[in-house]
Amino acid sequence: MTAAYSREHVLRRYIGIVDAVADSSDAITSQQTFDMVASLLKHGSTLQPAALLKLLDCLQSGGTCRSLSLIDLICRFIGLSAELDATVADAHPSDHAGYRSHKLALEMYAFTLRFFILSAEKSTTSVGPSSPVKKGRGRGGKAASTATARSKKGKEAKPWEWADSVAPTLGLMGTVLHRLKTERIWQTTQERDGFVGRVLRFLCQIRKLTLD
Amino acid sequence: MPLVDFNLQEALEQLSEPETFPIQDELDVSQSSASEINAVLNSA
Repeated sequence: MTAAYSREHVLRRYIGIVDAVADSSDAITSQQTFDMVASLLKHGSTLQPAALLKLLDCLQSGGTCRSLSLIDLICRFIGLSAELDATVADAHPSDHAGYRSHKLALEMYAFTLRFFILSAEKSTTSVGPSSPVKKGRGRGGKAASTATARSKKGKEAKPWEWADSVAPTLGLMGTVLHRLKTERIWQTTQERDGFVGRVLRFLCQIRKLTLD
Repeated sequence: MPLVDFNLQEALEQLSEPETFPIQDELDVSQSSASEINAVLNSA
């Protein structure tokens, strides 16, 4: 049931989930965090993208409003990259229990990313001053983003478009599939095909969007 | 920390219509509070 919340309550919840996911990427598996993320994504077309990005930017940078690209949001807020790193760090030659324990979080991140894309497609409007995404960006993303923001200072910002973030999103999902030993997590063919198949199908949908 | 009751296949099927995706304790950002939230965030 939908409940009416005060502005302060919503903002506190925003801060709470950002802190939780930043503290530990598996925080997504808590009911409260997942509900908040899903609610934001569900109403992504209602909340102005600029407002959402700016809030997250301020929270992440301690009040210094630096521009965030959508892929920054995916990587930092949604936390898929952090969860991927945590999973790989738990790899063991013979004992796969630790590696397998990331199954739920990985499935939920894949799902929230899919949800995010749906919301982004609906909200594919300008978010105001924002850094265009640098295609193929790797771990130096934060520094590169900051440098880009500085170089753009004083210039008129290019409106954000979802299409700018398609390539890095594909790259992120490709990295997930490349780095994960999926057979250790999804032990049956049916399970594995379920996750990999759905992710690949999702990538094909994005690629189709870029070609249309 | 209560773990979410999540099934990937079921969730993806429900996502075919995002507007009706079921969420517990859903925030009312789609109603009158949305404009206020936007204003606050834009002035942050």
